[in-house]
Amino acid sequence: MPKLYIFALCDRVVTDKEDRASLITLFNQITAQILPASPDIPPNAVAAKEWWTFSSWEIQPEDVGKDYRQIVQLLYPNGEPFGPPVSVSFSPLSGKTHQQVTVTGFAFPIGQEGQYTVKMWLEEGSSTIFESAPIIVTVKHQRLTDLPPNFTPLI
Amino acid sequence: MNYVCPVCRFPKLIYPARDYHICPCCSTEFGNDDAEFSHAQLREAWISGGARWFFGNPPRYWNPWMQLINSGLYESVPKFAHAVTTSANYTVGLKTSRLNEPLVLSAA
Repeated sequence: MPKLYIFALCDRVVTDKEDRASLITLFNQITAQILPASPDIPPNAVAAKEWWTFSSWEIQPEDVGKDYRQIVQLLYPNGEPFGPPVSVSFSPLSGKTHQQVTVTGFAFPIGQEGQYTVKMWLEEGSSTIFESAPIIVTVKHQRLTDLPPNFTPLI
Repeated sequence: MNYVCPVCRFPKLIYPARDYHICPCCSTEFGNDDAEFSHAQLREAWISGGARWFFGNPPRYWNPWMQLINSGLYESVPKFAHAVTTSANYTVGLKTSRLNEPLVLSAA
């Protein structure tokens, strides 16, 4: 069974021509600033902010040619899923020591303050064969008491 | 076969968006509502009303903003916050090796 080497959440993953990955800005907190007179953020709100997970699996000789699925799922603070689980299939190749998997989200939920959970697990066939420790992301709302100095309202 | 609502971009309309069919997501009646208003105007009205699901229960995982984003309509999603920033509350200790010694990283 592939052995988890890295599982991380970040702003972006850049991969060069030789498949070497660079993780840009790991984070575990999101702060949403609200202007003084603005309404509260609705519970289903999202921020159009890209986020990536990066996983690297150490391949064992017996894994070569087998079919695996890595699943990532983001959960609201109350445990409800935000969107369907994202599944990435891979089949380790002979001669490769690691299998890298990136998953991209195009928006992050910000409507509910609290701890969001990024779950990740590995399946083979219909069985879960490994579950990673989750990544916890804290979302906070910060209501500003004054307008920012360079703020220009939209007319 | 599924069709996409040209107003809210719900991707699973059972019928084409015409002939007085009604979108279960945004309630647009095609051939009636969109005879008077453009799809963009109807979308704006739906969003300003809270982008709520119209008929019955929404599909599992449904989120109106993700529906718009997934269809490429980023600009239609309201800016719910003035600014959204990420940060990390990690603590990292770094010990740099001297020449000819292996680099050592340690968590603080």
